[in-house]
Amino acid sequence: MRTKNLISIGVFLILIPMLILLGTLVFKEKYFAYLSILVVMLSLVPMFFAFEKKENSSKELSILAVMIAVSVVGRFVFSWLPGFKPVTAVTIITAIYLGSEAGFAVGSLSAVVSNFYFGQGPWTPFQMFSWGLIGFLAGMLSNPLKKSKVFLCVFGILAGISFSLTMDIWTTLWADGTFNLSRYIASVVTALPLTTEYAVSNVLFLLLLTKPIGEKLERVKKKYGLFTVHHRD
Amino acid sequence: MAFLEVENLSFGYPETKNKTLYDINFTVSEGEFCLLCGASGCGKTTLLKLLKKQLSPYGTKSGKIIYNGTETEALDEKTSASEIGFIMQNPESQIVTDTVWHELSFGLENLGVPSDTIHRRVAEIVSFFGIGDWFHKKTAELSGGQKQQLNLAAVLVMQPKILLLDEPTAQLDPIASADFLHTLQKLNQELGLTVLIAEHNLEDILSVADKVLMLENGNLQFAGSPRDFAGYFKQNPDHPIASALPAATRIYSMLQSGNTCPLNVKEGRSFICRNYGHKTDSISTKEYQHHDEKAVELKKVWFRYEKDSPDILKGTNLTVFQGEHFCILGGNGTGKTTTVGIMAGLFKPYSGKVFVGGKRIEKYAGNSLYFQNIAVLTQNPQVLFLHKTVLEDLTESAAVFYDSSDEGRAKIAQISKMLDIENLLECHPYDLSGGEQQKCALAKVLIGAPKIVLLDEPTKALDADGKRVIAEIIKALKATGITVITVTHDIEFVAENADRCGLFFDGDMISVDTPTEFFDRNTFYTTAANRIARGYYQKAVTCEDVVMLCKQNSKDGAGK
Amino acid sequence: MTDLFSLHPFVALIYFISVFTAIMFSQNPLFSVIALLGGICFSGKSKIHIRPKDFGFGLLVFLAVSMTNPLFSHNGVTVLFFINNNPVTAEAIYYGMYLAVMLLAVLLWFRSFNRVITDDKWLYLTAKISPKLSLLLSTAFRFVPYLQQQVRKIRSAQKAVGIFAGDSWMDKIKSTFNVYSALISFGIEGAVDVGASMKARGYGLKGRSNYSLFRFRLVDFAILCFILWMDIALIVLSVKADIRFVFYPAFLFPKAQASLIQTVIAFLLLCFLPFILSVKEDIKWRFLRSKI
Repeated sequence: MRTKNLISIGVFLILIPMLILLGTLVFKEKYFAYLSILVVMLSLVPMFFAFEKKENSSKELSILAVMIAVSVVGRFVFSWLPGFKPVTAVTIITAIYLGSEAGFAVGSLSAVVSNFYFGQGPWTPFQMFSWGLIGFLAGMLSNPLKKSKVFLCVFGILAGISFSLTMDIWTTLWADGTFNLSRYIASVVTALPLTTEYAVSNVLFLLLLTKPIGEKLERVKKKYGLFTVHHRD
Repeated sequence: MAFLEVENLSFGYPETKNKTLYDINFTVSEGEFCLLCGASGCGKTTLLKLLKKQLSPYGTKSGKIIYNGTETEALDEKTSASEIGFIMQNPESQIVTDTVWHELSFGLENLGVPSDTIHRRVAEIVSFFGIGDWFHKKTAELSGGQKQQLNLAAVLVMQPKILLLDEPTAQLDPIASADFLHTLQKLNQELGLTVLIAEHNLEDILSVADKVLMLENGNLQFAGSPRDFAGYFKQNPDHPIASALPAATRIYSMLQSGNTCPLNVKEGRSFICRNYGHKTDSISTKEYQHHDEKAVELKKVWFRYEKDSPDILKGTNLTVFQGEHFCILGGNGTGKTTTVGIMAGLFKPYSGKVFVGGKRIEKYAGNSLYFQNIAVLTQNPQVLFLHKTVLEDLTESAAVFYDSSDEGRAKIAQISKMLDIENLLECHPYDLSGGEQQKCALAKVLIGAPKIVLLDEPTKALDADGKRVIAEIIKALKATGITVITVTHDIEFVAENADRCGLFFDGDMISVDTPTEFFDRNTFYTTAANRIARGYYQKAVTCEDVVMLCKQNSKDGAGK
Repeated sequence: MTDLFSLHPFVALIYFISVFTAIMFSQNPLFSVIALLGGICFSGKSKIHIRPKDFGFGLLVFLAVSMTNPLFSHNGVTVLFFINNNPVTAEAIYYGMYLAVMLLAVLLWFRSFNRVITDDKWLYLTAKISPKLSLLLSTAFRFVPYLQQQVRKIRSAQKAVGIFAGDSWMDKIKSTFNVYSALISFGIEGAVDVGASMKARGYGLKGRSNYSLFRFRLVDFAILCFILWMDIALIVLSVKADIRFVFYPAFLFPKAQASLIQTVIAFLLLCFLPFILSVKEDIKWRFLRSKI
């Protein structure tokens, strides 16, 4: 398990920047917007490949599906509070209790499914990437996140900020065709209220939902022996 | 050789003292239609699940289950998945995918059937079920009855040899459940499919069955033919299952007569005509006296959900008097539940007036409409629970209505005593049985001390005993002066428990009357007892009415 | 029917990828305008529709992007004036306008993409790469309306027993959280049943097959060939001749040459393909009806 996780992290943290670098060298940087989408999509491939190969029981699959649906429906339920999207929180909670891979799947696929209701666009891969990564990391840090409420809140805040920062990269690339630092800073500044709201709502969601959802997931996980290492016979 | 053989089967769940099943022995032959009955919690579901390897619960099991010569545990996964079909109670919880066509192909994909063959088999099943119209639909767009038909089709497409069904019609309205049973009967008779079905309402199914099994507290109490089964209750007329029997059988067992037992309306009619005269052909009914005060009144109410959608209520008029039990009958989607929503202030009519307790409904500010006034028990009691234990939910409600927590606690204590749920307060609402959930939900409804209680399908999915409990609670509520308005499909329940009732049709209430008058004037939409006695006795609406008349006529010496 | 909506999902996907790639790699305002016009014609003709307020939105995006570009980008040689000691150049303004048109074209085509690549087509395409992922998505799609319905039920049930029936903000927030948390419990509970149903119907057996209703017809093949032909033409021609329009530091128009004209024609055909297919369909039906 450990080594496999390390490899996955390697993919995320080393391979992707390398690909981006390579992309800028081979192509002209004008194609950055397009390239960034390709690169982000590519980065998702190994995770989904691993998911396809792994044997999941039917209950594991249906629980992942329902967690995705829950985070999507959350966007409707809280739509009257602008900026309140429980997707990040649900992803983090799923990851804490069901592991990195589950967290990644729920985070990234929530983006795809919810965009069928809110509109698919070039931002979809970016959202998939951001939420997937948040879920993956939360799964890695599952133990400290479970133990410390403070750490959980800090993680929620960081997740909110980094989600916003990643989406601002997209905005910049899109509006400029290239990574223009001054525009990036400008869009980060204009998005500041929204970023704050993300961070605050994440903390609120995590504080209020972690316990009730966690208990439920823990109960189901124990009762049916889900999301543990599978032994093939 | 028997097709399915169960030998000395015992089963207990982990961490529970008592076993769920004790030493069960029975066989099912190929092509048999076998009915499994028993009160809820008797072990029906556990027994059925044990028969299918993939669903078999964890626990300590002894004894053997032999399917077609092989023990189920030794059966290979593919055979078990395809040859033993299983249908669960809740139509919602079995649907896996988002579209009808994918749902139908899902099982065959799992079996690794090639695409062309899947196409052919799906086409075949769609034609057999006549569901071509909704083949391309999303599963979410289907009605409950259609969903259960789809579940059946999705299992049948895998070409099972035996079908196990766990109360498949419990969540359906009478029309949909009759359709479902009809399909099942067709499969059994035309294709020779073996069927083992658990059911709690035996009215339509008993005469169809070849064999009946009855479980009681985990013991197999009875196994034999339907007629012997009916005969069994002649010795035990007070058995809790007795009230679930077909009306004809109930009348027979209450009369303690010695002839062959009738199983359906047709047989019941000829049984009465042959054995009892009709010199006294009508029961004397007292004039119904209602209170003068009106509890709820609708005056020419018009309602539609959206600007461009059709009218649901079309000038509905309805008056419910204080302290009575009023039942609203009617088919699916006629607007019964909408009417409840309007009385409870959930929807606002675009024209007409609604009075609650003599006051215009708009005049109630904030949540004063719900304080010591009106409350609704919605169709699915689960939706009322938001917390981990029943007590937490009740406490939350009490906090809304009472200033001091002592007052709230006292109210909770009083209500839970009245509903006999004191031992359930610490349970998780989802761990309760249907009847228990219904009672706990009702407790939450009663916390605000309402004067008017609206019940939406309170007997749905309950067994005979559960229905009896609900009926008793309604009586108890009435005794304290509470007005009860029930929306239901359950004709028998209305006949036995309503003070007045009416039929909701085409956006209005029609033929509002006492149940005796209401059903006696109907021909099709009436109780089984009334259909049995139609034209022979008048105003006999319940089984008790018919039995009383039969007895009077035999006392008069008119019996043959 | 052979319009973009009824094409095989794979062909439709290739089509959209081709259009998006061409728009973004062309680096030529003419191409962006063609793509925008093609998108407007197709949307207007088909069931996607363009409403007046969409034009308003488009104008807003156009103004926002074209006006802000000179504030961030100070490239270009033709300085018009200074803001805060930063030069505002004509090139930057024109580049901003080009970007805005390109952006609008992409947004418009994505709108069509959303309407054409519906969830069932998406699931079909996903299944080709990862059947398990596709099933997971399909189950998630099945749960979404189911849970939404449950939200409505929980809300009205709670209101009708007087809980959180008040209008205050605190009540509203509290009740939303309570409803959401109950919804999750309900969902997980339901998922366990669905999992059992999946298992009962043989999920997890070796050698799962994959069934779909989409059939690859001859017309799909023909249109795919056409799209690929245009793609190859665009690639070959743009390699042969530089069709790029250079904004910085000063305008540099691509040379008017045969291959540039050919490229424009190929791109025109590509962008107007869905529109042409829809119009052709209309004519065919009108003709058929007149014969009846």
